[in-house]
Parts: sequence; structure tokens; C-alpha cells
Amino acid sequence: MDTRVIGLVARKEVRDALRNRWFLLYAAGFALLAIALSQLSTGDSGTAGYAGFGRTAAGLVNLVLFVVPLMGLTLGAQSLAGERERGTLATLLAQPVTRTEVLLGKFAGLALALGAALLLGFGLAGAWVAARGGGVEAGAYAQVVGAAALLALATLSIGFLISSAARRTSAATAVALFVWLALVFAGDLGLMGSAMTMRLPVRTLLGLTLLNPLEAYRIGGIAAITGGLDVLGPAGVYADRVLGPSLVAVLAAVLVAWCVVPLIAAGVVFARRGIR
Amino acid sequence: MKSQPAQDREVMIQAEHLARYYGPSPALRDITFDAYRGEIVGFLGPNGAGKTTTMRILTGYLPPTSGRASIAGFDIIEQSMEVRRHIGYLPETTPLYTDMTVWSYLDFMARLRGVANRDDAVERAMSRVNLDDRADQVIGQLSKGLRQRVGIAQAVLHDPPVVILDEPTIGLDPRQIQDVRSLIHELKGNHTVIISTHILSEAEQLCDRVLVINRGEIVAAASPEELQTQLAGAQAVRVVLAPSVQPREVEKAFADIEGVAGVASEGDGRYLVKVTANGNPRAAIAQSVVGRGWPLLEMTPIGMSLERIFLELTADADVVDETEIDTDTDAGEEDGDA
Repeated sequence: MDTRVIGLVARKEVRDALRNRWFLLYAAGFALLAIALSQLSTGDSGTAGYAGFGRTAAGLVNLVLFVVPLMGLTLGAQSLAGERERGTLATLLAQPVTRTEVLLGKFAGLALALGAALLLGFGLAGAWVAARGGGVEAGAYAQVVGAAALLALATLSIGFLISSAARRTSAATAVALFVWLALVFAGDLGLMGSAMTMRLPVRTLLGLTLLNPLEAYRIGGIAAITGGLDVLGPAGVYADRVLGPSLVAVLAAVLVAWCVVPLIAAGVVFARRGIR
Repeated sequence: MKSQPAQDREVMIQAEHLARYYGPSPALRDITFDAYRGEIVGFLGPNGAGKTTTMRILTGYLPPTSGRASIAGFDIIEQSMEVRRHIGYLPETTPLYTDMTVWSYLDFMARLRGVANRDDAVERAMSRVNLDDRADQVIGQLSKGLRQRVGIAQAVLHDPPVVILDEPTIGLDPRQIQDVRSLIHELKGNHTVIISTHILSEAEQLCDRVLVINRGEIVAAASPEELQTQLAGAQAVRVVLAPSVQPREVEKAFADIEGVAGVASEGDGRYLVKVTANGNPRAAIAQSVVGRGWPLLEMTPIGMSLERIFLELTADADVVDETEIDTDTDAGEEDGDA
């Protein structure tokens, strides 16, 4: 594998992302909402300081939960499908480059672009809280940002898997939106509903929750901010008791698996179509 | 048109029994041909005949279901990277990164290829296609003809021995078509060029050899001139009789004459009599007409145009737009033909 080629494709992808209206809209929207949340959370003097930070961070966790997967899924879904639809993939793959190099280059470029958008949003929100006299728990905040970055990579990876099999950008985007809805609702209403109707034991409920990258992120974020999972109810208390100090490692492993497995699957699907 | 006999020249492309199936549907059934150093070979065929699929296989974009091919001696499957180093490819519809400038696009492609002396190579390629003064222009703002030149510059950037151009003149106005044709003509000699086209005059003008592809098979392969003379029935005689003569009787009478391959009534007493290879039935036709007392108004020998030969060879073609089929996806496979 030629890292020079991966670097070249990644650089081009970053440039393209910075010209992509959707990406710019997402990034600007995320940054503005993050600032708005910080303003609301530290708005009255009574909640300044750590309480203000806690509220800002909790708000950001929820914001990330909706916006970041949407960004990751749709950008990933448009990546290969877009090149295929425009016909540029045929030219690109007629160069002496492998499909794996193209895939990894595109992934790396979009990951960098997403990372920059996240840093911008979180950076502005953190700076806003700090400027208004609120204390920022750097460690907890870094954990929330790190988990958000992993969530971005995980959803980008799923987006690439969708893209590797799609021939049209519109179809890939539609599937990505459906997956986004499914993950959001499976995490919340779906699990709650099925837990009640199917009388799922708390252990199964926790297992199912951890399978969803969005939930893994939510639990990690809340644990970082509050130091415990009591706010999540019996499942949270159970997770605390069973996983204890290894909770963060388990959640990180879930998110890393979501980053790696769909990307490998995307590589297999993409490579199966061509020579080498 | 060929300057040297084929057997004395270096084979640059060798394709043996290439086939490509999408499920049970064949996009290519059996493609076998050689292309020699410095010649221009035209793939001529209706939409959906298999021209694009053959090109995609040769460029490594798509694996064949069976058969083998080599470019400059490198196997397309086993030595795919070497193959790609030895070809320049311009797909149909000239897909380019339209938000890049001409220079940055060519520079990006040169970097991907790891071209030595990159700046020189980009300048040289731009100069070959007369784009020297367009370096800083955004590709999306260029006319179709200029974009086509950018695409060709990309294909010759690394001075490859083999250049593959898929429908290089499609969608261009007549002047742009002439520009692109002269560019392709200039490539001759230094490069082996494969072009696909469904424009017969283009094949006649540009190509040393024409491979007529229909339904995934080569149905004829020869120089444009040879194609006109080699094929059975390539010569014909137009006979004009008084309209009062019954066409059925004429067809019956002519069909029995030695050297006649077929008779078609064109109405108004006009008949097209196709002649077998090396056949010369004109005297016998004249005798037959006079003997029956039919008034003979005209009898003219005519050479069949490449267009008529093409139509005859591809008479059973399905008209499928190959560009609509993406062979890189499962969805494309379901669509079948390519």
C-alpha cells in the first residue's frame, strides 16, 4: 500500500469537503448551535461555574448525538457513490493506484474534515463558557470531544459501506438518512418500547444499547460529565455495577469496532468490483 | 493505410476470448484481437455492443469473467499496476474534477502516477493539446471541446504507449470534433490508440483498423477499405426497370443468376442486387432482363458504404445505452448488458 497515494487522495478530499456546501452547512450549524447551547447554559449567573459547564457539556452531548452521525453518514455515503456517478472513479482507478488506497485516502480526508468541524464547534463552545467565567473540566471535556470524534469516524465508516455498494448519490444519501433515523430511534424510543413490550431483562437491554454507536457515545459522554450513570435509570445503574471502571474501555472498544468493521466491509465490497 | 505488415510489428494489446457476464446476461461474449504499436484501432458498434466494457476491462476498472488480455506484455489481472502505468484512459463523457483548475487537475493526476519532472510533464501535455494559456482556468468553466482536451492531456500526461479513448468526440460541435480528431491523429505513431465510436466517418477518417463489435462479439475486423471489399456482398448493382415489371418476378429471375447474393426491391422499379465476393453478374443480369423483354432504364455498379456494411453487420443489435450501466456496482450487474 502506497501511503503517498493515500495522502494525495486525502488532501484532495479535505479540499473538496471545504468546498462542499453540505459540509460547510453542517459545520457552521454545529458551531452555531454549540455556541447557542453554551450561551443558554451559562445564561443566568446562578448556573455559572461547573454547573454551567455540566449543562453545556450535557447539551453538547445531545447535539452531537443528532448532528455528528448525520454528518458522518451523509458525507461517507456521498464519497464513493459521488465519484462513481460523476464517472471520475473510472479515471481515478485507471491510474496506478489500488482501490484500498483510494478508499483509505477518501476516508482519511473526510475524517480530518469532520475532526476540524468538531474541534471548531467544541472549541468555540468551550471558549464561550470559559469567557463567561464558567470553569471547564478539561479532562471530562476532552473525553466528550474524543468520544464525539470516535462517533464521527464510526458513522463515516458506515457511510462508506453504504457508498461502496451504491451507484447513485441520491440513493446512498437516502439509505444514510434511513440508517441515521434508525440509529436515533433504535437508541431511544425503539429500545424503550421493546424493553417494555418484550419485557427485556436489564442485561439484554444494556447489551442492545451498547451495540448502537450513538448510545455508546451517549453513555460515555454522560459518564464523563456526571461521573456516574444514575441519570440513565436502572440500565445505567446496572452498567455502572457490571462494568465499573472498565466502562470507558468497553464503550471505546464498541466505537472503535464501529469505525473499523464497516470500513473493512466497505473495502471488501469496493474491491470485489475491480481488479486488485 | 498500414505502413508495415502486422506480423513485423510489436503487439501492444492482446485480448483473447474476453467475456463479461452480469448474472446470466452477457455484456461481452468473446472478444479477441491484437493491436500493434503506433496504430489507431477503432471499436465500432451500436450503443450497448460492449465497446465500453471492453475498454474498462483493458484499463483494469473491471475484471473479465473469462479470457485474458495483456497491455505492453503485462497481464491485466496479474500485473494490473504495470498495465495502468502503460495506459492513458479517457472514459466516455470526459469525467473531470470540474472545480479544479486545468493545472491543478493535471498536477494531481501526475502526482498520483508518480510522474518524474512533474511540472515539465504537465506543461508538455498541455502544449500537446493546445491548452498552454488555460492553466489557471477552472475546468467547470471550459467549453466541452476544451474539457475534452484536458481529458486527453490527462491521458497522455505520462506518455503512455497505449491510449484508450471512449467516444472522444461525443457531444461536441463539428468544429470541436475536428479539433479532437486532429489531436488523436497526432497521437498516431507514438502511441497505440484505441477509440470507440459509433460514427462511421470517424472510423474511416481516423482508424488504421476497425473492429465492428455487436452483441459482445467482434463481427468484423479490417481496415476501413478492406472492410468494404472483403465482406461478401460488399459490392452491389443498382438496376432500374420500368415500374410496370412485377418485383416478385424480377427477384425470382435475378436470384437464380450466379454471383448474386440477394435482391432487394426499393420501389418504383429500382432494385439493389447484392453481389457475392469476386462475383460479376452484370452481363448475366443484362441478358436476363433483355431476354424477358423488360425495359431496362439503368444499371449501375455501386460500392457499399461502410455505413451500409455496419448496418448489415449490426442489424440485430439491441439499442441499449451502455453509459447508463455502471459496471462497478451490483446494481449495474442487475441491469445486465454493458
